[in-house]
Parts: sequence; C-alpha cells; structure tokens
Amino acid sequence: MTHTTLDATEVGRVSASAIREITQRAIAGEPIATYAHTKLLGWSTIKDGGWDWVGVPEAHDGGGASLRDLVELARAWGETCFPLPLLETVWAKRWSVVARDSGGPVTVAVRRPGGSADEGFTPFGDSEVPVARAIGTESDCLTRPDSSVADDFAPTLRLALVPWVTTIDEVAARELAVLWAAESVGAAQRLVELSVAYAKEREQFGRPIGSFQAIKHRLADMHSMAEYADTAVVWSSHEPHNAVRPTLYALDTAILVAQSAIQVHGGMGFTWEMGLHYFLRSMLMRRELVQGLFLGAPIQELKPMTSRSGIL
Amino acid sequence: MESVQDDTFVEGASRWLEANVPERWLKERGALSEEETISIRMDWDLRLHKGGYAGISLPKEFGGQGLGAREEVLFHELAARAHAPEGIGRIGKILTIPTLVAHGSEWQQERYIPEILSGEQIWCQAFSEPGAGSDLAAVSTKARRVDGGYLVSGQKIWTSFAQYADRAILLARQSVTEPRYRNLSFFLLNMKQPGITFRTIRQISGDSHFAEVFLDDAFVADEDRVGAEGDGWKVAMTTLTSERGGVEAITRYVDMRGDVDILLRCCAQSPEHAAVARDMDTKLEMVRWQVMKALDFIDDPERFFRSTCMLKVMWSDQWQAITAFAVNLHCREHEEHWRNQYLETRASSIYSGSNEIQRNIIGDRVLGLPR
Repeated sequence: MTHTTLDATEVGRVSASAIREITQRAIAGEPIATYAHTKLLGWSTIKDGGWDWVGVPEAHDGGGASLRDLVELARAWGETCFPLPLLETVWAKRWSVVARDSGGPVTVAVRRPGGSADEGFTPFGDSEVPVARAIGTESDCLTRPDSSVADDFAPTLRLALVPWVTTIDEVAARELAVLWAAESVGAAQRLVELSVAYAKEREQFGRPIGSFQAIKHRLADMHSMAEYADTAVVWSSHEPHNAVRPTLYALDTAILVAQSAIQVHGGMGFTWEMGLHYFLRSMLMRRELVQGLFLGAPIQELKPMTSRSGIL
Repeated sequence: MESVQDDTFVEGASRWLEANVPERWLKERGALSEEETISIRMDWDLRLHKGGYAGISLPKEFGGQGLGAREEVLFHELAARAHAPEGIGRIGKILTIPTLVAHGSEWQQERYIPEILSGEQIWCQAFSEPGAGSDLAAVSTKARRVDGGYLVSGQKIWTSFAQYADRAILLARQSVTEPRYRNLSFFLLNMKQPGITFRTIRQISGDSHFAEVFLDDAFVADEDRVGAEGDGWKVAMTTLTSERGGVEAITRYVDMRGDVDILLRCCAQSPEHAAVARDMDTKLEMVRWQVMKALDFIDDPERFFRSTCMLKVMWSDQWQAITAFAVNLHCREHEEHWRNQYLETRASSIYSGSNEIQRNIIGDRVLGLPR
C-alpha cells in the first residue's frame, strides 16, 4: 500500500477543532492548577456533540474516523489535559459493541509495570465510570468497580487500581497506545508555545531572555522535539504493526520537552501554581500506561525494521 | 489513501535499481580507492539519466520527469535499501537547479539544467570563505565590472568536488557602496579557466573531499549572473534552503540507512547493543517520516518550513551518535569503516550551515524570538 498523504482527513480536523473549542470554553481562562481539580466539563457536552462516537466505524453509524484522524483529536485533547476519559471512551466505542451500548464514558485497566498481573491501573477509575473487562474480543464486558484513586501523582488522570487487567485485542491495544502518546504530543506542543511566549516576555539584563542563544537554542530544540514526537505518532497511526517503538519514542521525547519547558520558565516553572508539572505528570503516567499496555498484549518483542511496508 | 501510479513507479524503480546498482559498489564499497569511488559515482549520474530517474520532481518543461516530491522521496528510500551509490552531481541537482528554477533566466535554465541532469556537468558551491563561514554575508571575494561581465578575485573554502567541477555557483561582493545583504551578486562560474586554482584540504579522517579555491581575475559573463546586481543574498537564500531541506535530508538518509544496516549486523550478537541499534534505527526512520509528513504541507511555505527547518540538525546529530556508538563496538569486520565514518561525520554538524546557525534560524524565523 502506498500512502499519498500522511495527513488527517476532514473528520480528524473537524473533531480536533471542536475539542479545542469545547475545552477552551470550559476552562474559561482558568489555570490548569485550578481546572485539574474541579469538574468544569460535563460528559454531556462531549456526548451531545457526538465526539465520543467519532472513531466508531461508519457501518455502526459512527464518525468513521481513522486512527490517523483520532491522533488529531488526541493531540487537541492533550493541549489542556482535561480530566475526563475522552480518549479511553472514543477508543472503546470504536472497538466494542458493549462500550457503544453503555451510552456514557468507559475506561480500561492495564497492567502496571512492575505490578502484579492481576491488578489493573485505571485512568479515571474514581469517577463511577465503567471499566472494561475485555475490549475487541468476543466476550467484551464492562464492570462498575468500587474503586477510588490509588495513585494521585497525575491529578489529570485520577488513576485507580482494580483487581483485573482488561483483555484487549492486539491491534486495539496498539491503537490505544498511539492515542495516549498523541495526547502527550499535544501537551508537548502546548508547552513549546507557552515557553516561547514566556521567553519573549520575561526580561533579564534588560532584554527578553528569548534573545539569548542559550535559551533560543533550547527552544529551537523543543520545537524540533515536539515535531519529531508528532511525526512518531503519525508514523504509528499509519503503521500500527510497528507502533511500539515510535510510540515510546514519542512519549520519551514529549517528556524531554516538558523538562525543558520547566527550565525555560526558571523558578516559576518549578512552582505548583504555574502548573507545568501537571503536563509532565500526565506524560510520565501515560508512559507507564503505554508500557503496561505493551506488557499486557503479546507485543513486547521489538522487531528491527529491516522490512518496511508503510510507505512502500 | 492508495495511489496506483505510485505503485507502478515503485515497481519500476525497484527493478531498475536492482539491475543498475554496480556489483563492485555493493560488494567492495569500503575497500574502493577514492578514484574508483569517484568513477562509480560519475557513472551513476549517467545511469540515473538514462534510466529516467534524474530530476524526478522537476517539471517536464525543465527536462525533468514531472513527477511529485513524493516520488523523489520514494526513489531515495528505494535507493537506500538497494545500497545505491550517490551521484557526484548532487550540488548541481540539489542546489543549482532549484536556484535556477526560482531565479535563473530562461537562457540559463536552457543552457545549464539539461547538462546537470544528464550527468555531463559537475557543479560545486563557492560560497564559504576563510572570513565568511557562519557569517556568510561577510564574503569578500570581489566581482569587478569589465566589458561584457566581471572579473572575480578572492578565496573560497570548503568547496566539495572542486577538483572535478565544471562549474560553480558563486557568491561574490559586487558593490563596495551598498549595505550588507545588498552588496552581493550570484554568479555561475566556469571552473575550467585560467585564473582558477585549487588546493585540496586534508580532513581529520585523512580524506580530501573539500578544497580551497583561489580566484585571480576569473571571468564571468553578464548572462551568467543570476538575478540582478545586489540580489545575491536573496538568491543564495533559495540555495541554502534547498541545502538544508527535505531533498538534502533524504539523500543523507540513503547514506545513513547503509550505516544503520551495518550497525544492526555488528550488534546482532549482543542484546544490549542490539537494543541501542534498534533505537538508532527508529530515530533514522524518523528522518524519513519527518520528510514524508512535511510533503503534505509543500504548498503552505510557512507550515512546510516549520516541519523541515530541523531536518539538518536532526540527521547530522543522529549520524554522529550512530558512528560514536559504533566506533566503540570493537567489531573487527567493520572497524576500519566505523573509525573512518566516526571522523568523517564530525563534519556533518558543521557543513551546510553549522547546527548552531540552524538553531538560530529556528529560533528567529519559526519561533519569532527576539534577536
């Protein structure tokens, strides 16, 4: 198969801009240190727009978005890291009748790296959201666990623990990993914007700090890394069979961008209130979730790409 | 999306490469003398033209194949996998042709482009000077007005292929009164004339790819000035953007792919080393995907530049990392190759505009940071 374009289609672009509009309106200028802890966006806003069905195949009356299109949506979502299980739900409804029939949001439980095989790490597991037992299999089902936040390291993810790991179809698992990584790419791109704006405004020695090459070159590298991370998820979305390595690469690279964003912001970057750490915390936990996903599915083997099939 | 035409192109190019990549290059590439290497590379340019693979994305009106940038990239990916040599006409094809298409006169386009495509004429780039490296606008080589043209005097440096070149793209100071950036003119210089001498430079690897070029009243005719007098900087910007852009990156990818394929073999016995090599493989493939992704924005110059401005830093940093890792592997079979490549690639973060200058460009032009 030969791709004549790697770009998303209309449905990807439209859903991304709708998500941006919804999240910006909900935030209404509040900083992440505030909105991460308060419930500003009800699920109905997502559901009324049909955005939870955007990845459902057209044959099932969904939006028919491809994985590449959903990368656009996930990136837009990552720009705010809003604490709602949008990506998990979009993905689950794409793969599962049971998830579609449930009407509301859905989440998953993945194995925790370093944890036991019968314990699942669940984003948004505290919010009475049903957690899938199996997705993309012949016996998909959901359960509403009685769980509470077990790991509050990333406030925007609200991770809980449940006594099972969702059984996931191998291709579906790779798709979820790509979407989680794409969310971190969106966050990284947002952090580049914030850092550039800060470096233009903040003055020391009578000049904006962005005029100093030490800062300028760091920002140039941040821009480049955010581009690479984006390219890595675009690649993954076109070649899910090769997605393990570029997906992890995207997450590692997004984390490097976040680290640099803190440095560019100086002392302010290190404060709780400035809130850069919310994005970084989210990225670190997304990386754990993706690693857990690759542990759970039989795809930990990283094959050298001596034969490629995506572009050619 | 799928394209039937692309598949036909890929099939044809694969077959052609299989039949045309020289056996000696495949088997004894590391052991060839410099003369043999040059002769294979010169012959490769002729074969590319005969096979219909010269100027793939150049419009037919200029003698190209009239296909898209995508086919250009596809061909390079195939060439990389086939371990094809790289033609010696790269300066002409990657730098001279885009510059002439954008700024050249009809006469210049008709006179020079066909001979570059056919592989008959080899070009070099006479921009840098001992006193004008990163600060390229400081060139002091002078072009003095005479009847029918100019006499050029000065010294150029880091000129690749000078000893083989028939012509050079030349940047010279043509006005003593106009301010910086408006005092330069861009010329097409005949390298085979009295008044031009050169001295090859021995590099840290022991090889000699570069030369110093001495110009002593070398003549350039009026019709060989590109753009108006004083437009040299503007014209050179087109050249430099090509030099640091997608096509350049994909040609580097061809060479790097060969190195990473060797690296994967060197690391096959050690799981620890293999993990590093696979990581480097991923990062190398990222160069290709970055170029492919950027192609979608080729009609939106600003967006295109946002996605291509980092390519030069990307491939050169990676190439250095690959050879730095490989030179410490103690793979006896490839020891000589890696020692040489390690030293050779120290230049990659310097040539085509140092990586520090590239980062300034990203900071100033893409991010809009204050100067």
